Amino acid sequence: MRMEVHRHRPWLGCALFGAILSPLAYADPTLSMQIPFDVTATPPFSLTSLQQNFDEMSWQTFIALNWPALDNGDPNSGTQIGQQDAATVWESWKESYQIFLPNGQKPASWSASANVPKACEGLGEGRLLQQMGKVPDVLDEFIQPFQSGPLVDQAGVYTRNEIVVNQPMFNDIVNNGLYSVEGQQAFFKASSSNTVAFSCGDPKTSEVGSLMVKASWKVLDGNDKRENFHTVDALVYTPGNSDPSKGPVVPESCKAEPVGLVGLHIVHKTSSAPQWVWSTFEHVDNVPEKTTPEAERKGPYLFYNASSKAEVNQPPPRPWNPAVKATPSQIVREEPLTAATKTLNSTYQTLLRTVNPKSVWANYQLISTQWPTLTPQPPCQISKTEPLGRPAPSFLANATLETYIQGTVPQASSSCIACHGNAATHVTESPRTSFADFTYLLERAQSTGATRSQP
Amino acid sequence: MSTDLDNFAGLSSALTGIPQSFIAPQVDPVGLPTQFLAFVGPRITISVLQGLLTQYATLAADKVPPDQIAQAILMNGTQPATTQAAQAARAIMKLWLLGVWYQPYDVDKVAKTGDQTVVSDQAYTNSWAWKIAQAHPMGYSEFFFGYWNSEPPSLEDFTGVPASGQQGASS
Ligand code: HEC
Repeated sequence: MRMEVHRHRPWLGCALFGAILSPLAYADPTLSMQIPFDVTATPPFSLTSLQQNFDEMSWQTFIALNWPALDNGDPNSGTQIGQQDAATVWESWKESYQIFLPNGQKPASWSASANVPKACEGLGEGRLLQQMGKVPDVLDEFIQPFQSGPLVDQAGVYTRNEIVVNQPMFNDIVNNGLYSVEGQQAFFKASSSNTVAFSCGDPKTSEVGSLMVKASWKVLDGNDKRENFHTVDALVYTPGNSDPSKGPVVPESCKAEPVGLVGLHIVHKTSSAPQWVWSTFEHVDNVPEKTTPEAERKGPYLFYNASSKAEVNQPPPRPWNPAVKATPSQIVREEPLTAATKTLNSTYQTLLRTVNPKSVWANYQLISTQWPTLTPQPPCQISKTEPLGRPAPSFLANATLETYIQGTVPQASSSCIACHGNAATHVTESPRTSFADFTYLLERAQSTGATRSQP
Repeated sequence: MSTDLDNFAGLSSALTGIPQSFIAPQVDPVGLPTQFLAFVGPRITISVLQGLLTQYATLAADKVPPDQIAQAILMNGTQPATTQAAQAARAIMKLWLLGVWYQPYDVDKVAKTGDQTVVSDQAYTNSWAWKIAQAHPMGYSEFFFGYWNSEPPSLEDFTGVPASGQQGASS
């Protein structure tokens, strides 16, 4: 068998980037509700120049995704981002628990509204946070990757995470039946060339492509200034667990509470980045940088107490029970932001303040963008020999979402692309069938059959 | 004018037979050429290094094909050359292939013949012997679950050199 030849092409001669160049290239940062279709690379190309271009793409995507949304989820062209804090475009996207349903049921249509658990009924309108993905892993959305531990704010309350996908990605999942175990099996059986391949953003066809977002929220309390956060009224739901072998026994509960955005992963698959573009943002008050001398860590920080002597970046002791107040996490950022990213952040923060000097969005910062340096040939296609596409930077972590795996230790510290390259489907018989295209979402699929036990 | 780094990349490519765009990609987040150049200098001595880089640059400027450049450095007629430059060049080849530095000769206060060290984790995970074997280093794989069930990509995919081609030099 002969496989397609993958050629390493220098960026300079790359038709793909040539095509993106002239018509769309904008030197000045703008506030636009248009999600970029791909990176806009400006020559001469180097690692530094491309990092800058991907960081610009991150900010433009952040702005488009956080644009105020109409009731149908479309961006509201009648307003500017941050004029006042409002429900965002990405908040209208489908949450993981609405896609991967018990017994592998088919998800409701894109526009259908979400069901709330019984415990939340009667509490009024609110964004449901901390629903369970799959029943046995009761606390799954508290726990960070590979059970590295939850994050506790200064009031002793657990931060909450959620995952949403945009409509193209939702359609790819639903139309191919990937929302259930049996659907995944049928998909791979249907044709020996079927592989999981989400659609890529493409400027040539004006397609946005697939996007997924993971957000972390903190419950706002008396010490938080609400006006500093993007906030939503949430139904903070804690699924019950009565089986001590599966974790602490927790009663089911639901509480209507305001929550503030503290971390945001935005991940976008594009023609020039089939390993996806991994952008990560945080609230500016989250944590001090490790390199900042202790005396200069003024704060106040959301996840660091300047007067505490606690050891930094330690996960809370088990058991992890969100129903019980926990010891606040003492977190620092292991890898400082680069000077270029800091400059870009202040450019965009300043721009956001021209709309509204108190714009909540000016309180967020890009940490960095991880992107594949290998030019895909053909576009949207991963290399057979270097499937991770040589990511830059090698490591990237969000202090609220990869809290305990920050740093630069090979094989141990957080690399978005390297870790997500291990994501698999439920059909692990060959690389073709196990490859999940860098998303862990497909592992949430449940079985329609009675063979898999459900409590 | 080419820099030491360009010449080192070109020299490395001539010695290993792996295209320069693979050895030293234009957009390169790992940066092995820079790492290796800095590592090798004091260990083979700057004068041997400069000699090699100049020899490479001169021959390359005269459009001598890479495999003949390698011959000129490594061989003495039909026998492997025994000069320090040739020994250093062989150590550089091994470095690219294995990620390990094998000290070719004593250098006062720096290293002793036969000293060996893995230069860095990246030197190991990106070493070319694995790619030439169409495989991956032990303990580090980018391939997706179950890859062992399928035929690996071709030698050309891995190295830019077709399996039928006979490139590179003997030593
Ligand atoms: C050590 C492995 C690991 C690393 C490193 C990692 N993630 Fe994840 N990520 C996961 C796992 C496991 C999930 C699914 C479970 C969950 O949500 O906690 C996930 C979920 C996500 C999701 C939701 C979609 C999905 O695939 O489930 C996004 C988006 C995401 N991560 C982005 C990132 C970004 C951006 C980075 C780098 C800054 C990153 N991840 C680093 C393991 C990792």
